[in-house]
Amino acid sequence: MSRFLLGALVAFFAVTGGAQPESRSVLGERNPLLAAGADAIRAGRYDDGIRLTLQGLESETVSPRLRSAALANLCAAHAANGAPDTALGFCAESLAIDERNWRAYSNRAFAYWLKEMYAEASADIEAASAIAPEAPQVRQIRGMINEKILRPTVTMETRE
Amino acid sequence: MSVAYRSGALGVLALLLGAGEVAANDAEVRPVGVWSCLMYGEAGNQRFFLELAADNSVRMARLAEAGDGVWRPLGAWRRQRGRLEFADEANGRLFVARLAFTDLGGTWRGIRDGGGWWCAAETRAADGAPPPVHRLLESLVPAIMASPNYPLGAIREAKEGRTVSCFIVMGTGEIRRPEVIESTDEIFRRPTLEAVAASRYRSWGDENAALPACRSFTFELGTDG
Repeated sequence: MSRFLLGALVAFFAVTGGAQPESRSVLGERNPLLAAGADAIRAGRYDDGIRLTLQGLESETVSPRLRSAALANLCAAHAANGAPDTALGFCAESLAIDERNWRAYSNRAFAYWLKEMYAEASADIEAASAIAPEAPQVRQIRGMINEKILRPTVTMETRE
Repeated sequence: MSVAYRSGALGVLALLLGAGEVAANDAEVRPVGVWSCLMYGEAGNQRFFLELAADNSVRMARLAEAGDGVWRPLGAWRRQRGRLEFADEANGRLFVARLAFTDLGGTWRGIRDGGGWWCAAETRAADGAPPPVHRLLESLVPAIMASPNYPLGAIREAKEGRTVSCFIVMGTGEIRRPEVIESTDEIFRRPTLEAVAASRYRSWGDENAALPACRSFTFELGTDG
Protein backbone atom coordinates (compact mmCIF):
# COMPACT_ATOMS: atom_id res chain seq x y z
CA MET A 1 0.00 0.00 0.00
CA SER A 2 1.49 3.33 -0.95
CA ARG A 3 2.34 5.93 1.66
CA PHE A 4 -0.12 8.27 0.01
CA LEU A 5 -2.97 5.85 0.50
CA LEU A 6 -1.98 5.12 4.07
CA GLY A 7 -1.84 8.80 4.79
CA ALA A 8 -5.21 9.39 3.23
CA LEU A 9 -6.70 6.62 5.33
CA VAL A 10 -5.40 7.96 8.61
CA ALA A 11 -6.10 11.60 7.91
CA PHE A 12 -9.61 10.84 6.88
CA PHE A 13 -10.63 9.43 10.20
CA ALA A 14 -8.45 11.62 12.31
CA VAL A 15 -10.03 14.98 11.78
CA THR A 16 -13.76 14.58 11.56
CA GLY A 17 -15.62 15.31 14.73
CA GLY A 18 -18.57 12.93 14.55
CA ALA A 19 -18.25 11.56 18.03
CA GLN A 20 -17.11 14.80 19.55
CA PRO A 21 -19.48 17.24 21.23
CA GLU A 22 -18.00 20.28 19.47
CA SER A 23 -19.52 20.99 16.09
CA ARG A 24 -17.27 21.89 13.19
CA SER A 25 -18.43 25.53 13.23
CA VAL A 26 -17.88 25.96 16.97
CA LEU A 27 -14.43 24.42 16.59
CA GLY A 28 -13.66 26.90 13.83
CA GLU A 29 -14.82 29.93 15.82
CA ARG A 30 -13.23 29.12 19.15
CA ASN A 31 -10.20 27.18 18.02
CA PRO A 32 -9.14 28.49 14.63
CA LEU A 33 -5.66 26.97 14.81
CA LEU A 34 -6.93 23.51 15.75
CA ALA A 35 -9.56 23.75 13.01
CA ALA A 36 -6.95 24.80 10.47
CA GLY A 37 -4.68 21.99 11.64
CA ALA A 38 -7.47 19.47 11.22
CA ASP A 39 -8.22 20.81 7.74
CA ALA A 40 -4.54 20.57 6.79
CA ILE A 41 -4.34 16.98 7.99
CA ARG A 42 -7.53 16.19 6.12
CA ALA A 43 -5.94 17.66 2.99
CA GLY A 44 -2.82 15.56 3.42
CA ARG A 45 -0.60 18.49 4.45
CA TYR A 46 0.61 16.70 7.52
CA ASP A 47 3.52 18.96 8.44
CA ASP A 48 1.27 22.01 8.32
CA GLY A 49 -1.38 20.13 10.25
CA ILE A 50 1.05 19.13 12.96
CA ARG A 51 2.41 22.68 13.27
CA LEU A 52 -1.03 24.28 13.44
CA THR A 53 -2.39 21.73 15.88
CA LEU A 54 0.57 22.14 18.21
CA GLN A 55 0.16 25.92 18.06
CA GLY A 56 -3.52 25.56 18.78
CA LEU A 57 -2.91 23.35 21.78
CA GLU A 58 -0.47 25.93 23.16
CA SER A 59 -2.46 29.08 22.54
CA GLU A 60 -6.15 28.16 22.49
CA THR A 61 -8.45 27.24 25.30
CA VAL A 62 -9.57 23.68 24.79
CA SER A 63 -11.71 21.28 26.74
CA PRO A 64 -10.14 17.98 27.78
CA ARG A 65 -12.17 16.19 25.15
CA LEU A 66 -11.05 18.52 22.39
CA ARG A 67 -7.45 18.23 23.60
CA SER A 68 -7.76 14.47 23.34
CA ALA A 69 -9.14 14.83 19.79
CA ALA A 70 -6.32 17.15 18.79
CA LEU A 71 -3.71 14.77 20.18
CA ALA A 72 -5.36 11.94 18.27
CA ASN A 73 -5.04 14.09 15.15
CA LEU A 74 -1.35 14.57 15.84
CA CYS A 75 -1.04 10.82 16.25
CA ALA A 76 -2.75 10.30 12.89
CA ALA A 77 -0.64 12.91 11.13
CA HIS A 78 2.62 11.45 12.38
CA ALA A 79 1.53 7.94 11.45
CA ALA A 80 0.59 9.15 8.00
CA ASN A 81 3.97 10.85 7.79
CA GLY A 82 5.64 7.50 8.39
CA ALA A 83 6.63 8.24 11.98
CA PRO A 84 4.68 5.65 13.97
CA ASP A 85 6.88 5.90 17.07
CA THR A 86 6.09 9.60 17.42
CA ALA A 87 2.46 8.86 16.64
CA LEU A 88 2.22 6.32 19.46
CA GLY A 89 3.21 8.94 22.03
CA PHE A 90 0.44 11.32 20.95
CA CYS A 91 -2.14 8.55 20.92
CA ALA A 92 -1.14 7.52 24.43
CA GLU A 93 -1.50 11.14 25.59
CA SER A 94 -4.88 11.36 23.90
CA LEU A 95 -6.13 8.21 25.59
CA ALA A 96 -4.80 9.30 28.96
CA ILE A 97 -7.19 12.25 28.72
CA ASP A 98 -10.15 10.45 27.18
CA GLU A 99 -10.12 6.68 27.34
CA ARG A 100 -13.31 6.57 25.24
CA ASN A 101 -11.68 8.26 22.22
CA TRP A 102 -12.12 5.54 19.63
CA ARG A 103 -10.21 7.57 17.01
CA ALA A 104 -7.13 7.49 19.20
CA TYR A 105 -7.43 3.71 19.53
CA SER A 106 -7.94 3.40 15.81
CA ASN A 107 -5.03 5.71 14.98
CA ARG A 108 -2.80 3.86 17.41
CA ALA A 109 -3.84 0.57 15.83
CA PHE A 110 -2.71 1.99 12.51
CA ALA A 111 0.61 3.10 13.99
CA TYR A 112 1.14 -0.39 15.40
CA TRP A 113 0.21 -1.82 12.02
CA LEU A 114 2.94 0.30 10.43
CA LYS A 115 5.39 -1.15 12.94
CA GLU A 116 4.11 -4.67 12.15
CA MET A 117 3.04 -5.04 15.80
CA TYR A 118 -0.16 -6.81 14.86
CA ALA A 119 -1.13 -8.13 18.30
CA GLU A 120 -1.08 -4.61 19.70
CA ALA A 121 -2.87 -3.32 16.63
CA SER A 122 -5.58 -5.98 17.07
CA ALA A 123 -6.08 -5.09 20.72
CA ASP A 124 -6.49 -1.40 19.88
CA ILE A 125 -8.85 -1.98 17.00
CA GLU A 126 -10.98 -4.17 19.27
CA ALA A 127 -11.08 -1.32 21.78
CA ALA A 128 -12.09 1.12 19.03
CA SER A 129 -14.71 -1.30 17.76
CA ALA A 130 -16.22 -1.69 21.22
CA ILE A 131 -16.85 2.06 21.28
CA ALA A 132 -17.67 2.68 17.61
CA PRO A 133 -18.55 -0.67 16.05
CA GLU A 134 -19.99 0.83 12.89
CA ALA A 135 -17.17 3.24 12.09
CA PRO A 136 -15.92 2.51 8.56
CA GLN A 137 -12.39 3.47 9.54
CA VAL A 138 -12.36 0.82 12.26
CA ARG A 139 -13.49 -1.81 9.79
CA GLN A 140 -10.82 -0.69 7.32
CA ILE A 141 -8.00 -0.94 9.84
CA ARG A 142 -9.29 -4.26 11.12
CA GLY A 143 -9.30 -5.53 7.53
CA MET A 144 -5.71 -4.41 7.05
CA ILE A 145 -4.71 -6.23 10.24
CA ASN A 146 -6.61 -9.37 9.25
CA GLU A 147 -4.86 -9.34 5.90
CA LYS A 148 -1.53 -9.53 7.71
CA ILE A 149 -2.30 -11.97 10.51
CA LEU A 150 -4.79 -14.45 9.10
CA ARG A 151 -3.53 -17.45 7.16
CA PRO A 152 -6.11 -18.66 4.65
CA THR A 153 -6.45 -22.30 3.70
CA VAL A 154 -8.87 -24.01 1.36
CA THR A 155 -9.56 -27.70 1.82
CA MET A 156 -11.02 -29.50 -1.12
CA GLU A 157 -12.96 -32.76 -1.08
CA THR A 158 -14.09 -34.59 -4.17
CA ARG A 159 -17.54 -36.15 -4.37
CA GLU A 160 -17.51 -38.62 -7.18
CA MET B 1 -29.51 -41.80 -47.14
CA SER B 2 -30.47 -45.44 -47.29
CA VAL B 3 -33.67 -46.62 -45.70
CA ALA B 4 -31.76 -48.79 -43.27
CA TYR B 5 -29.53 -45.93 -42.23
CA ARG B 6 -32.48 -43.56 -41.87
CA SER B 7 -34.32 -46.08 -39.75
CA GLY B 8 -31.28 -46.52 -37.53
CA ALA B 9 -30.82 -42.77 -37.21
CA LEU B 10 -34.46 -42.30 -36.24
CA GLY B 11 -34.08 -45.02 -33.67
CA VAL B 12 -31.10 -43.24 -32.15
CA LEU B 13 -33.01 -39.97 -32.24
CA ALA B 14 -35.94 -41.58 -30.48
CA LEU B 15 -33.63 -42.90 -27.81
CA LEU B 16 -32.00 -39.51 -27.38
CA LEU B 17 -35.33 -37.78 -27.09
CA GLY B 18 -36.17 -40.11 -24.25
CA ALA B 19 -33.09 -39.09 -22.36
CA GLY B 20 -33.04 -36.35 -19.77
CA GLU B 21 -32.79 -33.12 -21.68
CA VAL B 22 -30.74 -30.16 -20.75
CA ALA B 23 -32.14 -26.85 -21.81
CA ALA B 24 -29.95 -25.27 -24.45
CA ASN B 25 -30.59 -21.62 -23.74
CA ASP B 26 -30.11 -21.24 -20.00
CA ALA B 27 -33.77 -22.00 -19.45
CA GLU B 28 -34.69 -24.26 -16.58
CA VAL B 29 -33.80 -27.93 -16.73
CA ARG B 30 -36.40 -30.26 -18.23
CA PRO B 31 -36.55 -33.07 -15.71
CA VAL B 32 -38.36 -35.82 -17.64
CA GLY B 33 -35.94 -38.53 -18.65
CA VAL B 34 -33.28 -40.87 -17.35
CA TRP B 35 -30.40 -39.52 -15.32
CA SER B 36 -27.13 -40.78 -13.97
CA CYS B 37 -26.85 -39.24 -10.52
CA LEU B 38 -24.50 -38.74 -7.63
CA MET B 39 -25.70 -38.29 -4.07
CA TYR B 40 -23.36 -37.10 -1.35
CA GLY B 41 -23.73 -36.67 2.37
CA GLU B 42 -22.05 -37.32 5.66
CA ALA B 43 -22.32 -41.06 5.08
CA GLY B 44 -20.43 -40.83 1.81
CA ASN B 45 -21.18 -40.75 -1.88
CA GLN B 46 -23.50 -42.94 -3.87
CA ARG B 47 -24.27 -43.20 -7.54
CA PHE B 48 -27.66 -44.21 -8.88
CA PHE B 49 -29.90 -43.93 -11.89
CA LEU B 50 -33.03 -41.85 -11.73
CA GLU B 51 -35.99 -41.81 -14.05
CA LEU B 52 -38.53 -39.02 -13.96
CA ALA B 53 -41.52 -39.74 -16.16
CA ALA B 54 -44.00 -37.38 -17.78
CA ASP B 55 -46.76 -38.86 -15.58
CA ASN B 56 -44.76 -37.60 -12.54
CA SER B 57 -43.65 -41.05 -11.46
CA VAL B 58 -40.10 -41.47 -10.25
CA ARG B 59 -37.92 -44.56 -10.25
CA MET B 60 -34.46 -45.10 -8.84
CA ALA B 61 -31.91 -47.82 -9.43
CA ARG B 62 -28.89 -48.01 -7.18
CA LEU B 63 -25.99 -50.33 -7.84
CA ALA B 64 -27.66 -53.57 -6.77
CA GLU B 65 -30.94 -52.73 -8.48
CA ALA B 66 -29.23 -51.63 -11.68
CA GLY B 67 -27.26 -54.89 -11.59
CA ASP B 68 -30.54 -56.77 -11.45
CA GLY B 69 -31.96 -54.56 -14.18
CA VAL B 70 -34.84 -53.29 -12.05
CA TRP B 71 -36.12 -49.91 -10.94
CA ARG B 72 -37.44 -49.07 -7.48
CA PRO B 73 -40.40 -46.71 -7.46
CA LEU B 74 -40.27 -43.51 -5.40
CA GLY B 75 -42.90 -40.88 -4.64
CA ALA B 76 -44.19 -38.73 -7.47
CA TRP B 77 -42.28 -35.61 -8.47
CA ARG B 78 -43.89 -32.21 -8.47
CA ARG B 79 -42.91 -28.67 -9.32
CA GLN B 80 -43.26 -26.04 -6.66
CA ARG B 81 -42.02 -22.44 -6.77
CA GLY B 82 -39.14 -23.06 -9.15
CA ARG B 83 -38.22 -26.29 -7.46
CA LEU B 84 -38.79 -29.94 -8.15
CA GLU B 85 -39.40 -32.30 -5.27
CA PHE B 86 -39.82 -36.01 -4.76
CA ALA B 87 -39.55 -38.32 -1.77
CA ASP B 88 -37.72 -41.56 -1.18
CA GLU B 89 -40.01 -42.68 1.61
CA ALA B 90 -38.25 -46.00 2.18
CA ASN B 91 -35.11 -44.11 3.21
CA GLY B 92 -36.87 -41.08 4.66
CA ARG B 93 -35.34 -38.62 2.21
CA LEU B 94 -36.75 -35.63 0.41
CA PHE B 95 -34.95 -34.62 -2.78
CA VAL B 96 -35.22 -31.03 -3.92
CA ALA B 97 -33.87 -29.73 -7.23
CA ARG B 98 -33.61 -26.12 -8.28
CA LEU B 99 -35.08 -25.93 -11.74
CA ALA B 100 -33.01 -22.84 -12.50
CA PHE B 101 -29.93 -25.04 -12.64
CA THR B 102 -28.85 -26.17 -16.08
CA ASP B 103 -28.61 -29.78 -14.91
CA LEU B 104 -30.84 -31.74 -12.56
CA GLY B 105 -29.81 -31.62 -8.92
CA GLY B 106 -29.92 -29.83 -5.63
CA THR B 107 -30.10 -30.94 -2.05
CA TRP B 108 -31.67 -33.78 -0.09
CA ARG B 109 -32.78 -33.97 3.51
CA GLY B 110 -33.20 -37.03 5.68
CA ILE B 111 -34.39 -37.34 9.25
CA ARG B 112 -30.92 -36.98 10.71
CA ASP B 113 -28.74 -36.04 7.78
CA GLY B 114 -28.64 -34.32 4.45
CA GLY B 115 -26.49 -33.53 1.48
CA GLY B 116 -26.62 -32.83 -2.21
CA TRP B 117 -27.25 -34.61 -5.46
CA TRP B 118 -26.41 -33.95 -9.07
CA CYS B 119 -27.32 -35.70 -12.30
CA ALA B 120 -26.13 -36.01 -15.89
CA ALA B 121 -28.54 -36.82 -18.66
CA GLU B 122 -28.41 -40.52 -19.48
CA THR B 123 -29.62 -42.38 -22.53
CA ARG B 124 -32.83 -44.29 -21.91
CA ALA B 125 -32.47 -48.03 -22.53
CA ALA B 126 -34.68 -49.37 -25.29
CA ASP B 127 -36.32 -51.91 -23.00
CA GLY B 128 -37.07 -49.40 -20.26
CA ALA B 129 -34.63 -51.06 -17.88
CA PRO B 130 -31.99 -49.03 -16.03
CA PRO B 131 -28.88 -48.20 -18.06
CA PRO B 132 -25.95 -50.63 -17.87
CA VAL B 133 -24.65 -50.95 -14.34
CA HIS B 134 -21.06 -50.28 -15.40
CA ARG B 135 -22.06 -46.66 -15.87
CA LEU B 136 -22.34 -46.42 -12.08
CA LEU B 137 -18.88 -47.85 -11.63
CA GLU B 138 -16.90 -45.50 -13.84
CA SER B 139 -14.11 -43.92 -11.84
CA LEU B 140 -13.20 -40.31 -12.38
CA VAL B 141 -9.53 -39.52 -11.95
CA PRO B 142 -8.66 -35.86 -11.48
CA ALA B 143 -5.97 -34.56 -13.81
CA ILE B 144 -5.89 -30.94 -12.68
CA MET B 145 -7.29 -29.95 -9.31
CA ALA B 146 -7.32 -26.16 -9.14
CA SER B 147 -7.70 -24.68 -5.70
CA PRO B 148 -9.78 -21.54 -5.19
CA ASN B 149 -8.14 -18.29 -4.25
CA TYR B 150 -9.25 -17.16 -0.83
CA PRO B 151 -11.06 -13.88 -1.55
CA LEU B 152 -9.17 -10.92 -0.12
CA GLY B 153 -12.44 -9.38 1.01
CA ALA B 154 -13.18 -12.51 3.03
CA ILE B 155 -9.76 -12.38 4.69
CA ARG B 156 -10.25 -8.74 5.57
CA GLU B 157 -13.64 -9.49 7.08
CA ALA B 158 -12.35 -12.70 8.70
CA LYS B 159 -14.96 -14.75 6.92
CA GLU B 160 -14.77 -18.53 6.78
CA GLY B 161 -17.16 -20.71 4.88
CA ARG B 162 -17.95 -23.71 2.77
CA THR B 163 -19.17 -24.26 -0.75
CA VAL B 164 -20.13 -27.25 -2.83
CA SER B 165 -19.97 -27.13 -6.59
CA CYS B 166 -21.45 -29.79 -8.81
CA PHE B 167 -20.79 -30.21 -12.49
CA ILE B 168 -20.74 -32.62 -15.40
CA VAL B 169 -17.57 -34.47 -16.39
CA MET B 170 -17.52 -35.35 -20.06
CA GLY B 171 -15.83 -38.51 -21.30
CA THR B 172 -12.95 -36.36 -22.50
CA GLY B 173 -12.35 -35.24 -18.93
CA GLU B 174 -13.65 -31.72 -19.50
CA ILE B 175 -15.80 -30.12 -16.84
CA ARG B 176 -19.05 -28.57 -18.02
CA ARG B 177 -21.71 -26.39 -16.46
CA PRO B 178 -20.40 -26.02 -12.89
CA GLU B 179 -22.94 -24.71 -10.40
CA VAL B 180 -22.65 -23.82 -6.74
CA ILE B 181 -25.31 -25.79 -4.91
CA GLU B 182 -24.28 -24.96 -1.35
CA SER B 183 -22.62 -21.80 -0.13
CA THR B 184 -22.40 -20.28 3.31
CA ASP B 185 -21.53 -16.89 1.83
CA GLU B 186 -21.79 -15.41 -1.64
CA ILE B 187 -18.22 -14.14 -1.41
CA PHE B 188 -16.96 -17.71 -1.96
CA ARG B 189 -19.08 -18.42 -5.05
CA ARG B 190 -16.86 -16.87 -7.68
CA PRO B 191 -13.53 -18.41 -6.59
CA THR B 192 -15.28 -21.77 -6.29
CA LEU B 193 -16.56 -21.63 -9.85
CA GLU B 194 -13.22 -20.36 -11.14
CA ALA B 195 -11.39 -23.25 -9.49
CA VAL B 196 -13.78 -25.83 -10.84
CA ALA B 197 -13.64 -24.34 -14.32
CA ALA B 198 -9.84 -24.53 -14.24
CA SER B 199 -9.89 -28.22 -13.27
CA ARG B 200 -10.24 -31.29 -15.41
CA TYR B 201 -10.28 -35.08 -15.24
CA ARG B 202 -8.49 -37.76 -17.14
CA SER B 203 -10.33 -38.98 -20.19
CA TRP B 204 -12.59 -41.87 -19.26
CA GLY B 205 -14.94 -42.32 -22.22
CA ASP B 206 -16.10 -40.87 -25.48
CA GLU B 207 -17.04 -37.26 -25.99
CA ASN B 208 -20.76 -37.94 -25.57
CA ALA B 209 -20.40 -39.67 -22.21
CA ALA B 210 -21.17 -37.61 -19.12
CA LEU B 211 -21.05 -38.19 -15.39
CA PRO B 212 -22.00 -35.95 -12.48
CA ALA B 213 -19.42 -34.98 -9.88
CA CYS B 214 -19.19 -32.53 -7.01
CA ARG B 215 -16.46 -30.90 -4.97
CA SER B 216 -16.70 -29.28 -1.59
CA PHE B 217 -14.43 -26.46 -0.52
CA THR B 218 -13.84 -25.40 3.06
CA PHE B 219 -12.44 -21.89 3.47
CA GLU B 220 -10.70 -21.46 6.81
CA LEU B 221 -8.52 -18.83 8.45
CA GLY B 222 -5.83 -19.55 10.97
CA THR B 223 -3.15 -17.61 12.75
CA ASP B 224 0.53 -18.29 13.15
CA GLY B 225 0.23 -18.39 16.91
